[in-house]
Amino acid sequence: MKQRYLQWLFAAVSVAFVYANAQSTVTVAVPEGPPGFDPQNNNRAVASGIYINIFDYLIFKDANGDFQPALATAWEPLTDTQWRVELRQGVLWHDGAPFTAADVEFTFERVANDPLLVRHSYYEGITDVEVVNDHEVVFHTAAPDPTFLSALSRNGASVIPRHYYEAVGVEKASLEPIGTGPYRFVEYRTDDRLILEAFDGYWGGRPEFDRAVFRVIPESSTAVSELVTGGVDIVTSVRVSEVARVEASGSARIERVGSNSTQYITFNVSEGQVTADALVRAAVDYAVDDSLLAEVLTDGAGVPVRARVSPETSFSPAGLYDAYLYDVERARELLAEAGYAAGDLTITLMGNTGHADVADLVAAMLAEVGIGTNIELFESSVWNSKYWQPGDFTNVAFGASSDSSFDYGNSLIDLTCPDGVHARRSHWCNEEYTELVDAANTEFDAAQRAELLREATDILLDERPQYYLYSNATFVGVSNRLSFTPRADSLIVLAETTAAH
Amino acid sequence: MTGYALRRLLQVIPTLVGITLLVFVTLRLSGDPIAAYLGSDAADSAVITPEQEAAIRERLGLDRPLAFQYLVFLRNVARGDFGQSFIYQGRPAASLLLERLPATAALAAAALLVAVLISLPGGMLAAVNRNKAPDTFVNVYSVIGDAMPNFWLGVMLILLFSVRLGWLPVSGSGTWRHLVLPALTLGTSMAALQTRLMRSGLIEALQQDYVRTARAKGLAPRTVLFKHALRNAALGYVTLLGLAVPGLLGGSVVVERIFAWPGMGLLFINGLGGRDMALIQAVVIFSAAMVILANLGVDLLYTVIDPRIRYQ
Repeated sequence: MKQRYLQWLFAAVSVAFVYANAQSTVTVAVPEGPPGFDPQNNNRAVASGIYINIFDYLIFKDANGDFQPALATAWEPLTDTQWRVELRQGVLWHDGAPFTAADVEFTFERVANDPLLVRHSYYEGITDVEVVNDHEVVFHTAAPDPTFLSALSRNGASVIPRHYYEAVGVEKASLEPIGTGPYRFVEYRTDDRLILEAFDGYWGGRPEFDRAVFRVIPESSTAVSELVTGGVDIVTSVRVSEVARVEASGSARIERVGSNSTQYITFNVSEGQVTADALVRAAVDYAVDDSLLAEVLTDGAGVPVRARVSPETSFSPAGLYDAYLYDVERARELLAEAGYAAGDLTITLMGNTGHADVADLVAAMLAEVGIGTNIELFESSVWNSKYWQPGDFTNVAFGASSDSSFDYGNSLIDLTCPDGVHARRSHWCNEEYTELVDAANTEFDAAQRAELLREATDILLDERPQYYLYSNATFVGVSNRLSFTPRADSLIVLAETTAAH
Repeated sequence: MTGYALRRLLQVIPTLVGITLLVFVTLRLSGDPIAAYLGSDAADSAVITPEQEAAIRERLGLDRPLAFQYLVFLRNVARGDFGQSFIYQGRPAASLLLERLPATAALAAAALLVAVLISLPGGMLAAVNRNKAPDTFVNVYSVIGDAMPNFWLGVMLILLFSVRLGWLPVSGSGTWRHLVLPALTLGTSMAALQTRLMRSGLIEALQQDYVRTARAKGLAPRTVLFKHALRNAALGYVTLLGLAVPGLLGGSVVVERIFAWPGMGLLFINGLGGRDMALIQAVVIFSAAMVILANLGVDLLYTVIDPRIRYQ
């Protein structure tokens, strides 16, 4: 009897010991590793999704798109070109040093002044960061910028430590980062795994999980196998074909989340291209059933759109989300108006090999109205370099774009002339459009700004240098042991992640 | 022999220089390197000012004449400097490569071991039992093994051994258990060809007069097989093992992706995806050097296996 008691006691002590030593870990599978940890020199959405756990923004956009205080506690415009920002007190860097206005000055002056940093273009409008005291700064911008708060809360706006960068240099700072975020960096084995540890001194309170591990698993089917066997808790990007396997597993679920990544067609409108004729572009728009594309290509999760709009994107004009034009008869009329009989017109569709499905479907739909097609697809790196070169594609190019500021006005800049990235690709240059977008992006009055953006959008809808197909959706696999809500901006916010109750 | 080895080693240098030129020219012919740096579907929408583009070109040395760029590149490669990887925020390509080397080497060695463990006994079994059931079995295996794509096999092995049976980890690295499935995937398909070669080599050797003589002398069948026939059949087999190096490096690109094995293959895919010139150049030149050295090694090994071969 006594022996049995001893056995029970031993077992109880063992359990308590194991429990006391067990570290709770949340493991996330990501399709690619961060390129390093210099947030200002990164344009990969996956990396930005990870950085949010190590670094903080001054202002954080919540899931509804509303600005919430982060390292900044209050902000106000002093003039059209000056923003006063109050900083949170008592915030510590992961090495224990205090966060001050000097860090904010260093962060934004670095990115504003160094054209070699990938994120430079977002911040080059900042002319000065004036330190008022340790906890207050005034940003000076070259021109009025109503999207300034969005710029402070988007990828690239992570605040970095002046003392650390100055002490160890950029190279080491981007290999072994220090931030103010909920998790501190422990180890990164490049393209294998990133290990983070909960930061006890986090201003927002210690996160629930002691450790966060990001595992780089490029192959979606492998990541899903890890999810259903308990190897990982979150898979940030599940392929459509793997969704059913997760849902049937009983141990994990699929969370569908919208994004502001829009799938589109860019027309080459330069002289000599058949797509230089706006009637032909309109005919393509009417001939293609965007709703069917979204249904087939995203397993019903995507939504047809007529512009780069989404519910999460501020200043999105109403009526263009979940909307499309599809009228085969109208398409035929437009073709006839443009002077083409059925079978007279052949259009070249170009893209990368990942665009094979959308190209096939679009080609079949165009055939319905009597437009012939040639499909030319390229390996993605070759395609990126072709597409980037102005004029180096014929007629139609498939693509997708997102905008991490989630501001509709910012996404319209891409078609302004002469520097907008998409304007350079399509050769479309409309001065009135450019003036409207420029005016909207310096207009502080929300109603006025919305009107200007609406007018610019009308020009796009009429001229169609690009024709928007659908807004993409992402499938996120989540273990049932976890309560995790994926975000449209693909930030992986582990501080808000808890065990399922 | 030593003279021959030295001469062959010296011949490696012009071959490698030729490869650097080939890699350099083809990369530049296939598009503007800066384009992929700035534009990509997976990346956030970006507005790049012409000044920013010019600054990046200048930093990467792309504003200089092509011949000058090549000479600078060649000089740097000779110093072991392959340039900075722009998709890894400026880290030296050479250090990224060296960091990944142990993982790929471990995978290649394990896959080679799997291939030998399957093909050596398999080929022998088939040859000794020619046209009997074991021979048919081995032949069927070698046809299927050759036809199965690594990608499919890898996924199937994961589903069986990791998801259904739970015996082995799905992916990743760190322990020997993580190595089992990637090595099996890569080794199984490689073994198919080697099994066939071992079989045919051994069948041929077993029909030679010296084998008949050995048998007539009353030597034990095992002695005849291992001491007389196998050694002669080994020549073609060893050649193929040497030639397997490019297959191992190529196969690792696929296998490392499926199993999230952090080796050179994965690095190469990332480099290609981002058109990271420094990284692509480093991996290709290094892999080429490995293939050349493996071939040289095989040539030298001939003299050990077959003393009749003597190099002048």
